[in-house]
Amino acid sequence: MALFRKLMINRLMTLLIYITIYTIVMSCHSSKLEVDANVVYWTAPSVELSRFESKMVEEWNSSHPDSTIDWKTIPAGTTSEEVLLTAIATRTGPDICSNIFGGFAAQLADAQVLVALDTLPGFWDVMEKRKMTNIIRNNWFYKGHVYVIPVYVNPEMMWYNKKMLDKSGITKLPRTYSEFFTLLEKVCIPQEVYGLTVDVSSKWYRRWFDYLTLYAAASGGEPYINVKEKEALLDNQAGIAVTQFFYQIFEKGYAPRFEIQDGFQKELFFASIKGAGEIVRTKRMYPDLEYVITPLLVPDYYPIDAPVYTLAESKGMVLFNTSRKKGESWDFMKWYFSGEHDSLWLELTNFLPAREDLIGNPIFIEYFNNNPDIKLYAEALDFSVPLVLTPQTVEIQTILNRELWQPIIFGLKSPAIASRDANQTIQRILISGP
Amino acid sequence: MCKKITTKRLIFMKKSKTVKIQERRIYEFAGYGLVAPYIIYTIIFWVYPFIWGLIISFKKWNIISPEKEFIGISNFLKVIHDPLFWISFKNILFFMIVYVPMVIICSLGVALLLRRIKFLQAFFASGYLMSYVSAGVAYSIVFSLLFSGDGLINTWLSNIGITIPWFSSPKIAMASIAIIVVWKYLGYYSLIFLAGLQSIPTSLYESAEIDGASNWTQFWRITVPLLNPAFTIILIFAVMLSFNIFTEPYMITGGGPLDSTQTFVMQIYHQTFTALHAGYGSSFAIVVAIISFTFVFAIRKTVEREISY
Repeated sequence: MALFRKLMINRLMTLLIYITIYTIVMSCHSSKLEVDANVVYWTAPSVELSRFESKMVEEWNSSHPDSTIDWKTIPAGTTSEEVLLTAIATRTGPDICSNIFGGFAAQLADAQVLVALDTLPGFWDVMEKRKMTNIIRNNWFYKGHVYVIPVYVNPEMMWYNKKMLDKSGITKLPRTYSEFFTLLEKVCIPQEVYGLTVDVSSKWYRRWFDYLTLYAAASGGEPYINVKEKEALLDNQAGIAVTQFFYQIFEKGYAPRFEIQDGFQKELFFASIKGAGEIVRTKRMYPDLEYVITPLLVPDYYPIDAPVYTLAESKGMVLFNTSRKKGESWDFMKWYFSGEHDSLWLELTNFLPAREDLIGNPIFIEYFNNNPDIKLYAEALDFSVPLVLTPQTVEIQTILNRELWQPIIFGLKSPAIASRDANQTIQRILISGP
Repeated sequence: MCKKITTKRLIFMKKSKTVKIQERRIYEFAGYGLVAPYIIYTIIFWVYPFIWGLIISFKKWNIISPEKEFIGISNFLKVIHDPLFWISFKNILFFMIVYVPMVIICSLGVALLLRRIKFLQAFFASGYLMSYVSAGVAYSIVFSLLFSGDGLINTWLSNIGITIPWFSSPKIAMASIAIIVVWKYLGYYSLIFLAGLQSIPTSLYESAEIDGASNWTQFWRITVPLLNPAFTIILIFAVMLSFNIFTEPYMITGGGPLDSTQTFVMQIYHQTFTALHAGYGSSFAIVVAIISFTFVFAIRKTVEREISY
């Protein structure tokens, strides 16, 4: 019996040792595979974008068997940024990634993990081919270099419920805040029909789609931060006017202090600020909804003949310094941005490619004829401004939430004080640095 | 002859002693072998990160850069002066005040009910445990939809003319989150209470009944005092959970409205992974760990009692 037990224990121990060795060997083996694989390419975990990327990768791999692309969507996590950071820190990240917003690219550039793309051979030729030279020159330089190539832009515009407009008998759509409030008095029904969808959440990135969008319009396309001078620009005429606008929206009950999922689409709201990406989803899920798209609202002081600007969220592609296949990666990027694939991109994703010739280029005419709503967004691109390239984006917008947005929603600060507080705090962190 | 036998016996005894020592060594070796995976796991995933966290708490580091600047205790001083640290602390205390009594009362109630069930007790007990094994992100999304302004709960309540701003009012948002967390841990804590209840000898209740004690008196004089170990462990679990609350507020409210659902772990996460202040996030975590440990120590000192039946 004792011998049997002894034998059993020995076998159990041997098994445990084998399992441990096997686990270690397999984990080393899998990381070896990762290193030896061809160019690793990560993209946004989106169904529409994946449809396009899979076609692209398939085409590339069939024509380049010696430098194939190992494509996958960014692994599941709380945010894409967090997953990427973890991957970079643990040296398991991709060679190239295409879901990077400017602020995050600036953070990565500061940490010296990105390749300055403008130093690579043929960079400007590629930009010229894709008709995005001016976009890059004007908006995408960070500390003297280009670290991210924008793939698409997503400007914001106003949507109005057509049925409500017709019912109220109004033919002239509002341009200024005063005109909008006058219209709301006619259209809104307390607790039943609200005026404007406003995101009340504290998520930092949500401010791109409300406050900062209207700031871009109110300031005539001026940035809210002067990165070079480390200066916050929220406590000015435009900043206070936008804050005042949202303050009044909540004060007068034109927006609830809680979330209503798809409130505009469910016809519980008269107006909404939305990006082009919402069009296809809305048409699919709410086919009966009729709406009108116009440029953003501006303050009353805004010149009548001046163009109305908007903010365009944008995501781009980067090449990591840690890549062992920089040459092959850059070859793929050059091919990707050659401009030949943008009509397919538009067709499959319905996001506007970041290029200057969307209106006028014959390859897009058919698409825009079939999608007139998206064409309105393409036309607005001439007057759209990108997000400010600062590594402190998250901190800035977190402060904006805390000092301005949330107090305004609950009426705890006057617009002037909220603008001043947000400006002062942002100014402080700009000076102290990341 | 006698001497010869004694020698043989001595040799035999010596041999058997050697065998026993060898067997004991094998058992010891096996014991170490069996606990080794856990010890290795603890060293890799707990001890090493803890030491690493302690080291980087004295440094300025952005996770990805190889440069780590030593800045002494600056991070710790920054934590103490960070208004969000104190806001989070206040929120955690509020959460604790709502959550701890609610979860203890509800789970004790469920345990008392489960004890009365004669058939399918295990089935019901494991049914309550389902919430405990649910994915945090999944049920957070479900609850945020249920409790939203136009959600199912408010739709029902609107029939009697009430609408509750569960997650949009700064006054009640944290309490709403506490309700969700109670739902999650109700089954788990009930099982601990049930185990405690089942270990109380029935003879104590029988003698109390003979002495004329009412059910109420039996509950307060027998059940509650003898459940002290279960109370203590649940209290410690609940307090520790309060300090670690993250998924629900992160997913549902994002810390708002007006920072009323900001928590320590949300701040640690935000500082480390979003703002890339890993050194600061680490020192924040250490300060929180010290506070959490102090609470647990105080609870054990004040609540824990020796129990003998």
